Parts: sequence; C-alpha cells; structure tokens
Amino acid sequence: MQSPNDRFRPNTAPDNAEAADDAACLAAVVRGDREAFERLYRRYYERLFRFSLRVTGRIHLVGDVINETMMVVWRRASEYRAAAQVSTWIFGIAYRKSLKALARDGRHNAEAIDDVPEIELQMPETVDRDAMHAEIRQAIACLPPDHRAVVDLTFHFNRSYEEIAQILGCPVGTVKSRMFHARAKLRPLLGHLLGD
Amino acid sequence: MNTLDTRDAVRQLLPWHENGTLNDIERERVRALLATDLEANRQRRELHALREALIDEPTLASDMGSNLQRLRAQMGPSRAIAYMPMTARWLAVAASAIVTLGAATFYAGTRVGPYQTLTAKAAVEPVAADADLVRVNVAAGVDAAALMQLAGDEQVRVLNGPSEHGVATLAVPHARAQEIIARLSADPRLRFVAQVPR
Repeated sequence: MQSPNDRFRPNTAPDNAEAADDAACLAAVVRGDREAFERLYRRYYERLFRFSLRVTGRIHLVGDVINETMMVVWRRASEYRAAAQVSTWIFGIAYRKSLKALARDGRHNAEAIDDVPEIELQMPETVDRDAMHAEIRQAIACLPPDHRAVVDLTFHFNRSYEEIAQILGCPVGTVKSRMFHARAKLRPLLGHLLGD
Repeated sequence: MNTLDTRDAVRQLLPWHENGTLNDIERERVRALLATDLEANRQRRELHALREALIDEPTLASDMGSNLQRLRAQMGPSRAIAYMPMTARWLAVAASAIVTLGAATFYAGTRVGPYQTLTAKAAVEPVAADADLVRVNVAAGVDAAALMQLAGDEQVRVLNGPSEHGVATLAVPHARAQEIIARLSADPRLRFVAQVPR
C-alpha cells in the first residue's frame, strides 16, 4: 500500500527493473565493460549531482565528487555485495566523497548540532508556493551536511530509514535522531509558512 | 514505555510515512496515531511542505558530457591495461619467490630426492678402493638379487637400482671387472653394460 502523498513521489528511488539492470551493469563493469559503466554513469549523474550538492552545498565540488564516486564504482565494482541495492552502494560512496570534498575545501563537515547557527527566518507577510519552497530549501541549506543528507534522501530520493542508515554508514537510530534535529531546526520556519 | 514515549516513537516515523517507505505494521501505527493526535497531524503538514519543496527544486545537473570525458581520461584506455601494472607486480613477486627458493635450496646444499647439487654430493655407499663401478640397464623384472646372480660373483654389490627405468650401478672387484662385464653383456636381459670411471 502506498502513501497518500504518492502524487509527489519523484522518480528517484529505483524500481525493481532498474535495480536489476543496475546489478547487471555492475556485473558487466566487474568484467571491464565500459559501456555498462557509462550507462550507470548517465543514469546516476543527475541524482549524484543533486545529492552531492545537497550534502556539500558547493556546486564547484560536485563534478569532482561525482567522478570520484564513479571512479570507485569502476575500480571496486567487484567489492559490491548484493546485501544492499546498487544505488544504495553508490549513494554511500557519494556521501563519503562529498564529506571528504567538503573537508578538503576548508570547512569541517561534522559540526555539532549546537554549533550550527540558528536559521534566520525571512518572514514575508504573504508567500506564494514557489517562494515558500525556496525559503524551505534555503533553510535546509543551513543544516549540517549529515542532516541535509538525511532530509534529502528521505524526501527527494524516497529512501527508507534502513537504506539511509546503509548509505550514511550509521545506525537507524542515528538516522531518526538526525531527522528529529533537522525538523526541530526547520520547525519555526515551517510553522510560520504554514500559519501554525 | 509509556503512552507519551510510544507517541514520540511513532511520530519519528512520520517522515517515512510521508515518503511511503514504512512497512505495513509501521504504517498502521502511524495511521492510528494520525487518527487521534493533533500534534502528529501538524507535523505531517510540515513534512508534506518540506517534501514538496525538495521535489519542486529545479534540476541543476549540467556538464555531464565534459565530466564523463574527464573521467574517461582518468580511467585510461581499457580495464586490461589499467590492471596490467597489478598483474606485472604479481608476476614479479612470483618470479622473485621462485628465484629466492631456488637460491636458498642451492646454497643450503639441500638435496631434492636422490639428485646431487653443485654443493652437495648425492649420498653413495662407500665403495672399496679396489672396486670398479659398472652401470647397467636391465629388462623389466630383473631386480637387484637377480642382477647379482647374473654377475656370478659373490663380491659384486648393487649400489643402487634397478630404477624404474632399469638403470643400476654395481661395484665389482677390479681384478675381475672385465670378466663380469663380459658375462653381463652376454645376457639378453641386460640391454647396456658399461664401466663408469671413478
């Protein structure tokens, strides 16, 4: 049974056919098949672009993160274990590469929640839908990278909390905790925008 | 766990109820909560707005072609060539191991089987100074006892053999060596008889 909000579901979580094709492509990559690799690259480019941009918040890092991620896929395809989906494995690599890219870029990525500045609310009297969404996205950008990753993987990539835990390499409880704190940070803005 | 804790635990599932990834049991628990809990409904509205905002975000991805081009350059011409250095390294390691083992065997003077190396002579039985060595090649079925019988001399000794190829070495008294060789050579079961210099 699906959520009543499925009309908003983007086509980002892999369906069974795509997951099977991912696995077939990866098996071909193990054998050195470049065409299969480039197929994976093209399939994941936009998703990794978005995810990496969400985690790093820096567009100049994104191209390198994607290529470093896919280079790992090319070189270590044989290390993939079918316990998780191929997409989960690739996103996990991208997450770690994004954090490393952020660290290289001169800003430590693991700020404590208390160290994150309060989100400054832009409080327009009236907001249309696009402006409201832009406000929310701007507020999300103020969250720590690991919180942004949880929010984006949940709401844009439609990942379960178990998958997110696999991608981020942390326990499920940590995923829920990060979501809880992210929502707490966003609550004032969301409450205002929704008129609560 | 009291009711409040339970409600909080279920409220934590709301984001994944919103994206439709909860299992049946969890989904039912969230639905039951939403049917009675105003706070959960308020949070659900927030999450709905959050989700819409993220889905609504325009796609920014660009430059895939040039990025892929860059990656191709990093990947090198082919997987086989890319992996060649690793293969070469393994070959070098294997070759080194073989050479080392051979050298160690050689210099340690270790004999492998009945053969001798340059530094270790094959062990042989002491042979009397007045004896000659005779190498023979016998037909199948001729053993050491039969060979001694064919030699027809009580002082003949079989030093080694006959091997699986029929080769044997005898020690014969020097004084009667030619006589014994002639006797052995006359027997059709011996294909080859020759004196070996000591």
